[in-house]
Amino acid sequence: MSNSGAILREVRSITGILEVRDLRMTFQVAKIKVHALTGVNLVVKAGEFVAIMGPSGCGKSTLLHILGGLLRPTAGEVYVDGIEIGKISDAERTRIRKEKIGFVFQRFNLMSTLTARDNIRLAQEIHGNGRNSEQIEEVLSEVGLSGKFKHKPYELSGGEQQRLAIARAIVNRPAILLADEATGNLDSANSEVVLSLLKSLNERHKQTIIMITHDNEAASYASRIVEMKDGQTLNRVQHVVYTVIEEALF
Amino acid sequence: MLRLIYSNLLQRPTRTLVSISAVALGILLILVSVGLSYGQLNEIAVRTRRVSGDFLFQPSDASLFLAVNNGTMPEKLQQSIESVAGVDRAAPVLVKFVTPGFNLVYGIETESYNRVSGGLKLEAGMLPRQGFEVAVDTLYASSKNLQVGDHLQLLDHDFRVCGIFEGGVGARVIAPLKTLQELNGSPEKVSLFFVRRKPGYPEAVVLQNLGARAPGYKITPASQLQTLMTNNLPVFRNFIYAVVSLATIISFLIILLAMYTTITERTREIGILKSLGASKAYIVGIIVKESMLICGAGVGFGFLLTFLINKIIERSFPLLPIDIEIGWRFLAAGLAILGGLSGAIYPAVKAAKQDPVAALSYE
Repeated sequence: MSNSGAILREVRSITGILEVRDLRMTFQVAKIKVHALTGVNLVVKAGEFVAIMGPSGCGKSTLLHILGGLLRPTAGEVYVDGIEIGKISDAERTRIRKEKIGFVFQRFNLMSTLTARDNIRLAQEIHGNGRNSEQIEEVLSEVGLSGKFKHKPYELSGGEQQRLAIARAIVNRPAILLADEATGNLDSANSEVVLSLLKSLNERHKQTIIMITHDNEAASYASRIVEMKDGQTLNRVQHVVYTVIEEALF
Repeated sequence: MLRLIYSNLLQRPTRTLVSISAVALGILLILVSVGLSYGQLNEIAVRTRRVSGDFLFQPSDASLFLAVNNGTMPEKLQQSIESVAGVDRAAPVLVKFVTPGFNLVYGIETESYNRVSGGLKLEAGMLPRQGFEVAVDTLYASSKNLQVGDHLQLLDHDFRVCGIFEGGVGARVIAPLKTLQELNGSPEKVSLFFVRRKPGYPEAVVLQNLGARAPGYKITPASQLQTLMTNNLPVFRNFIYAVVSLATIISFLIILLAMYTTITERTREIGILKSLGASKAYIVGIIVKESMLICGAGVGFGFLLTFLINKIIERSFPLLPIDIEIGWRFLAAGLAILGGLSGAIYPAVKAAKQDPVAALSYE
């Protein structure tokens, strides 16, 4: 993390590794304004495994993209490890993403031309982590793909591809792992393997994970579930009865 | 990064090969065109200089590129030139350009030509004196498999080969001046005079004397001939510029097209790179390095093709000299890379500016 003055100025008194205050996101589609997020508040503490659930179109993915610095919010504040990423430059957000965020996508998003090992090596290289082969071996072993480091993504099953994507996401040991419908393209057996892996990462390495899902079974692996509806979060703790506070205008 | 670049290039081998070939074509275009042009010009200049005349005396509007001149000067100027202080002898020459083989034929008056040139070294036979006789140089004779006594079709007429002289001096084919004048329809007209100065007279003094006696004529010292021929021919220069520009534009367009197609095809991959935290500079670097690899391979392939074409020309057309100076090789490589780099910049910047979310959802 850079200690530049510009960034230090943004560090506020926050309670979690990730904190969102009154986050709003409006997209302009032709002449129509689409309010994707209408006031999201969320605090995620370090080491938490949070599942964000909600119906399609409720703004889950938009929230995840903002948390990962891929989108700049229209209004509100987003703190990642104390840094307000909504107001910093694109280059700074890219740097924060590189240093603190790991992404796991529904469609795996692996480089199809590279082997498993080179996919992970690419993430290392972008991070500036050098060519640490031991680290690659370690994460491949962690996701159960030790013997498949020479395989290209199309030579792996869906579950294996997602495990490779997880290995790539964690190789640089990011502060936060963001998973966008990580099991959405997998059958139940592979889903279970991937979810168990995420849970194991959370428990063994205290890896902070925020997972978007609309699957109750998947969400049950998280330590906390955040419900979203119509562009807003409706906080609840897993296994605790929650109440819909209000519905946002959409 | 290099693994990603290599794998990207190998993923679309046809496109990569076409791009490399196009860059190579640009290199080939520059080197062969320039090589042939300079080869021809240099060879003509050297052979013209080796006639050993000290000056080339031509009409004011004549070109040093002898092939484009016609016979417009009166032959009788010879006496006037020879009366200039310091001039030993002037040899009248009518130059004809023969299209098949791109050769020059000199119509000469043997006695004066021999005097000015110091005498051609005959390998066989004798120099032409009258009628439809020609002498050819050794290279021309070997390329056409000619012996003394053989017949040669030249300017739509049947000539008898009366002699073979050592190559490298003047034209490859020489014929009697009168015969060439008749065929040219310009009796008693010549294209130029080779002028030899008397021993002991400085070149500058004789040049000044000639200029004073024949104002308005172009008098070129033989010592400057080669430089002037290669540097001061506007048409030649423009031709070279056109070829070089064309080759650079080819490289630019091919790389632009290849890289533009590449980034469109790899929009999703660019999104992935951005999600991994790749900076704009990193993405620009990938595209530019990929294009540089294509250009580098294209330059190498271009050099190889040029070498092969050079050998083919040497074997098939021995009378067509190719002279590719090392400087032109560097220039051709530099321009190909510059063209490729320019062509890569727009796609690279476009890729770097892509919205990561839109790129990740690209189908």
